[in-house]
Amino acid sequence: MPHMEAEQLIKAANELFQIESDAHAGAASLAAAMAETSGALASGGLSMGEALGGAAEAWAGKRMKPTGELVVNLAEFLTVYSQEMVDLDEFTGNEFEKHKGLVQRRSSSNVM
Amino acid sequence: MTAVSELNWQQVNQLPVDAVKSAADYWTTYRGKVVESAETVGSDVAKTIGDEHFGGDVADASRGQLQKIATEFEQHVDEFAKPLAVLLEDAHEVLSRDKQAMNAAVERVLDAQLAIKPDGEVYLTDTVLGNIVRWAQANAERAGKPWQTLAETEIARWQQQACDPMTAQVKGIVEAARAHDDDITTKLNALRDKHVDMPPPVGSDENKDVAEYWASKAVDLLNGGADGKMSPAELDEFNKLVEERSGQPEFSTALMNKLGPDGLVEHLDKVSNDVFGDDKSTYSKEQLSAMHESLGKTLATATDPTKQPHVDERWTAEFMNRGATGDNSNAPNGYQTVAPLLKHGKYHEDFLTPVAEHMMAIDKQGPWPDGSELDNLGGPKNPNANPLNYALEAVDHNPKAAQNLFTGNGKGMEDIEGVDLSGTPAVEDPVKYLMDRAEDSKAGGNLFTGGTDGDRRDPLDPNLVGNALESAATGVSTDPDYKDRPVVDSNAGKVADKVIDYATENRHKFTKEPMNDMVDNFGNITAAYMDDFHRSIASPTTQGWAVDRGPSLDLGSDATQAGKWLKLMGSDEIASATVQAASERLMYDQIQTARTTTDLEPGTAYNEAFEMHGNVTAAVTDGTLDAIADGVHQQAEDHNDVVDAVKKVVEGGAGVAFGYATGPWGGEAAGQVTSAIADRVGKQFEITEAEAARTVADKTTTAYQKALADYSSPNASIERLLANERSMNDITKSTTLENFTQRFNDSIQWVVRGYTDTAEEEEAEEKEGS
Repeated sequence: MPHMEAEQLIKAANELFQIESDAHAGAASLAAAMAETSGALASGGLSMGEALGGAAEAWAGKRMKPTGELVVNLAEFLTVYSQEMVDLDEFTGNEFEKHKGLVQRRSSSNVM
Repeated sequence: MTAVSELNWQQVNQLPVDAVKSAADYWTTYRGKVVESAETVGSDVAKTIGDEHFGGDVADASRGQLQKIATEFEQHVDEFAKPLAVLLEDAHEVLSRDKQAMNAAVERVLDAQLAIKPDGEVYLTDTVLGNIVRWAQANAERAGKPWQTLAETEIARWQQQACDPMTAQVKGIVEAARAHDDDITTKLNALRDKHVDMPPPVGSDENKDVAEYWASKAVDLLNGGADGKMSPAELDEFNKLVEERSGQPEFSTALMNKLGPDGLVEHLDKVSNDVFGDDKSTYSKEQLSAMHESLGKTLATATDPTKQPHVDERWTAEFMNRGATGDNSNAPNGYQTVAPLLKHGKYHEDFLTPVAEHMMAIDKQGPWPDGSELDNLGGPKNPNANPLNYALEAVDHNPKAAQNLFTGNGKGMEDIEGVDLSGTPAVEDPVKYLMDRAEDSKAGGNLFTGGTDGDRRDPLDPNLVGNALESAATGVSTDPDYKDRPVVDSNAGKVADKVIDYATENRHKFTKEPMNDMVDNFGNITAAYMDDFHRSIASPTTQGWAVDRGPSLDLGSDATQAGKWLKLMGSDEIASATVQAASERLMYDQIQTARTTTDLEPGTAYNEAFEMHGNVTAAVTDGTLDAIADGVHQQAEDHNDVVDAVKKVVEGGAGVAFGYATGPWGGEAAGQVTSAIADRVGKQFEITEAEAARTVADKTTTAYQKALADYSSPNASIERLLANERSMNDITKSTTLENFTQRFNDSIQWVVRGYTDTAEEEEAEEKEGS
């Protein structure tokens, strides 16, 4: 049997959830700030205003959201593995529900 | 799309550069936080589950995933956040310069007591003009000139020496600011659109290790597991497992690499031989079909070079070599086993075109070997017996592959290194070859004689040939589920030219079975190129064209060839309806374009469009009468099919690849027009053979007018257009409406004359006149 300290895996999962939460909050603040700037630039007649808004959306949707999902996926896997030692190949994430009480928080579902 | 800034001088004068600076600072601060996240993931969390706390393969994989996530964060910063912050800093710098330049220019203008119009032109204010007038009045006597002359001279001097240079300066600053805005916008859009590759999540099938695991399991199932004999339940499990993962490149490539082309053919043969063999079957036909579908989609994914990973070219070469050979000299070829896979999934042109071209080259050498499972699927003398039909169906689903196949562009079979092409040279003219072979597919003949024209046991389906040609020529698949954008470039036009040339030279072939099955495809091709047909049959003096939206045909002003082709459309009710609807639609497009973009007199704009549509309708109707008189017309079995064909054109569906404007057919009008055209075409096909023969023999305007039937629908649409014409009075509108009918009479004359080339005719008339 491979060596595994369950409490360390839970700790790592909590750290990951915190990272995701911070990233989510940061991305949300950025999105709000860029929406405001984008509007001001567009009102000033600059076509770059709309483009900046589009770029900020792409940052949130194409980069931070999927990366946040990767972080959550690994956090959930570590949580489940710490209890069930489920095979890496067969982990689907569905098992997390019954162990979510082990971690301090569930990830935000809408990473922006 | 290129950005086009519309900044004006006032906006440049007040550019919100502070907001740009704030945004740049925000991104700089923010990207630092993302870097911190990357460090925390890659370092702190990795320590939490370090070797001393967590050991084994899963621990290594978990730590590996942490590093991938950390790298992702870093890449986002390097690829996006950092360049964006730099871009905004640069933007702030250049836009600030523009703003300062404009502020200074405006100050100079104001100091000179001048003013600036919204378009940037600097002009003399009333104050300056008043000063000049007063000065001129005071100095007129001394100068010995009227004060007005003095004033005009002075105003011109001011204009030349003060206003014009300042105008150039203001406009120059605006242009520079616009260029900067455009440049920044383009770069921001490039960042937005940059492709992002993400590592797969833990446990995902997209993960290489996981994909390998499932691919191995799939092969185990095919091999029958522990007892070495695949049960029906194991085949079901295989089909389900593969179907669910058939869109995943990692899994698809892993499975195809594990099976290899030999294994693919072998396992398919095993199941189909069982299903169609003499002994009692273990598996069902439904299970075999499911196997074709799941493996077909998987093969399409694995051979797509735009997906990562994909099988290498050596795999494709082995696939083609196996496709061309059987287990022994008399056995069916590999292609005869794997062909049904091609019906499923969308194959990339770099794989499909070489394979289709290879199959065509083999097909040209003579009948495919007997005894393949294809015979069982469709029965002898059924198109299902020829693997090339499956390739044509796949080609139809990918217009780019179809265009490459028919024009010789792109990757072909000779470009795949390692394929044994001895004895199977490429077919020189695929359009002609497939047309000729499809004609050979007529019913009858002896099943086992093979090889003689008209008697092949492995026919080609004219419908599939027609669909593949339509797909290539219009850039849109005939598959109703096709949702991609039309693949429209000069290759599409080249294929359309080839089809038009062949069909107009061999018109008789297409008015009867089996080749008349293709005429509905020709109708869709005509609809896509209706603009070219209108141009070819228009008077040389015509000026009011629609906006050119696609590649052009070689027809030029060859009204005779256009007429012959359009006449052929008339032999098929669906094609006739499609073409008449497309022409009518374009007629409105032409009127609207001429009215909004040219200085043509309104009446001329209408009459020119009427003429082109009239010629199309008359030619198509002539074809209908001719075909009915000869007993070779093709009437739609169901009127709803005619309605659907018209609806597709009226509503601008996929069949009208190059997308004309909507004309006056929005909302309810579209439904009314659809019914009217479909009903009118339906009536044209209700005419008796004797009546059609009389009309064709009479060749009189009256007889043809009758055949054109009720034209109230276009009149109603034209009335709607005319209602919005403010520059035309009621009498002109009424005359224009009457001209519509008159133009049809002229068109009938053109048809009665035998599609005489308009240009030649006019030249002849000029000579006569002189």
